[in-house]
Amino acid sequence: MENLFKNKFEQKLAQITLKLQKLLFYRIIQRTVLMIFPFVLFGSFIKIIQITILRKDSFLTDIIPKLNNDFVFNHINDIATALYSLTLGWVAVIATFGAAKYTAKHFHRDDQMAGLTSISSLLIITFTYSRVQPLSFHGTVLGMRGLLFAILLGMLVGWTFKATSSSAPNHRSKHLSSNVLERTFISLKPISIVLIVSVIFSFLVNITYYSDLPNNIVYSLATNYQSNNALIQLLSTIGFSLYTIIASFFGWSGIYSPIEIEKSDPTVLNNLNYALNHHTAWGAPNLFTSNTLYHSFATLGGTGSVLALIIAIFLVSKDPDFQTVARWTMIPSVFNLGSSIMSGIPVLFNVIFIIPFILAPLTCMLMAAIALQLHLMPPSVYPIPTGAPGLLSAFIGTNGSWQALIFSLISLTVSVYIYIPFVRIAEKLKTIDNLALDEGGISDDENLQ
Amino acid sequence: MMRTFNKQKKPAKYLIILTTILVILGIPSYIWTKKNVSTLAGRYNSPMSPIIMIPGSSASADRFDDLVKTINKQYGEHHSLLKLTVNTDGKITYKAL
Repeated sequence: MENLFKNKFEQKLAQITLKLQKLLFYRIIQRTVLMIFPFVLFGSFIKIIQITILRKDSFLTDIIPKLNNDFVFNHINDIATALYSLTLGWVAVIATFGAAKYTAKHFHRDDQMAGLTSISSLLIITFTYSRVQPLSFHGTVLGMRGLLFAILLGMLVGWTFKATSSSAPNHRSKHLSSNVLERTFISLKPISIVLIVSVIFSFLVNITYYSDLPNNIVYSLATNYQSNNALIQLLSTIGFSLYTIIASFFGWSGIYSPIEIEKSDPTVLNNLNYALNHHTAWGAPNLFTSNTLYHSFATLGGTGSVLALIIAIFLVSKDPDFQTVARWTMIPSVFNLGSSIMSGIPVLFNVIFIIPFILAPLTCMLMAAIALQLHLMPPSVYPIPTGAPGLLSAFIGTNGSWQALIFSLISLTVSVYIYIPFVRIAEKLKTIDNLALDEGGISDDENLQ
Repeated sequence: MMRTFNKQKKPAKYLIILTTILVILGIPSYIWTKKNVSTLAGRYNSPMSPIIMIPGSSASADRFDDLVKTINKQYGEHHSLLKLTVNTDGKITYKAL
């Protein structure tokens, strides 16, 4: 291993990662994240179609011919919404199945039953008690932002199977029909326990309220305590950006999340009013807002500047898996839909990538802050349409300023250079311990131990 | 050195594709932002803004005649006025002054 890694830092990081990869907890998370990749990718492509063609206020409205027939348009839109909601929109359900299945398999319990129980459990917890709609769920927690909760729940279900049932019978030893019945009765106890606990849990805690609580607190902090001091503004914007980036790294979402509806704070509105009044973005009163720093320079290709990771892979990686994933996730990432690359590499929960994932956006934001302070480019103050390419958002937000565009390109280059060493480390580690190899295999007991 | 060069040939293709996509998207976004900002600026800097007045359920469309007259007299200007009445059968009748 020593000859693979050049310096002390690389060796240290590799050691930590290899140690973590030995942990069951970590392996299950990583494997689950890899498992949801196809659904995330499919959902991302559907989302692109919705953003570019089906939205009536999209920035591509002028060049893409519009469907004048509202009936046809609405039907296509409905189909796209259905496809999106049941792929990327409910990845947490798929993830909880995977996590429970892998955990139960590790303990030689009935993995299939554990996975299915986990799905029921998650759906019970997120169930909406409504008299109007017979079957509805808290949708937001079923998507990417509910991933962490779903994986933990799955592992808990798998562990319940270990604690309360005996091991699964050998599949080949008996006749099929009797085997299925036997399996049912072996797993009946953990299934009932999990489902009853879930019902109690869902009744006591309204999960959306619970999951939104930290966000609401941070958001009210961000909007209610505005300061006119530029330094404090800069620090608070960076602080909230860090919160957002770290939250999305762990399958949650922060207040600046690009998926959410644009929340504009008073400083952003002040800037817009100034710019409309003076017919220029130069000299806007608040230089360091979420729009001028975070949305323009820290989300190149989605949270954590993952477009830079894709380019870094194109430049230095020789790993065929990385290349394939990068190729497929390139287009979604152009439209700032970073979830597919985050689950495909995987970046989510991956200890190697946490450093560039935070460092790249942070460096770009600091560079942008300096450039804004020195008046090298105008601040981004005008509205940016959802799904606008991350690389172009500064360009759009400054009403087409070339300085801002050039600065975005510089930011991207810097981010690519930050990602390159970590891509190399990840690649070398794959040759030692490949997590993706045994994904979904039949006899992966050895790898899980 | 030779080997890395050969391996990089293919990924370079995707970098070119990526650049092309961004250039293609850049042009409409430039047009979009120019148009959007000029619409917003036009709306924001407009010296006049429409005022919508809705009479109570038992009043007619002429409910605000006195108010409009007073305002017009006070500022010495004649503001245009459009009165809309929505009838029970869903039809809209209007009067412009």
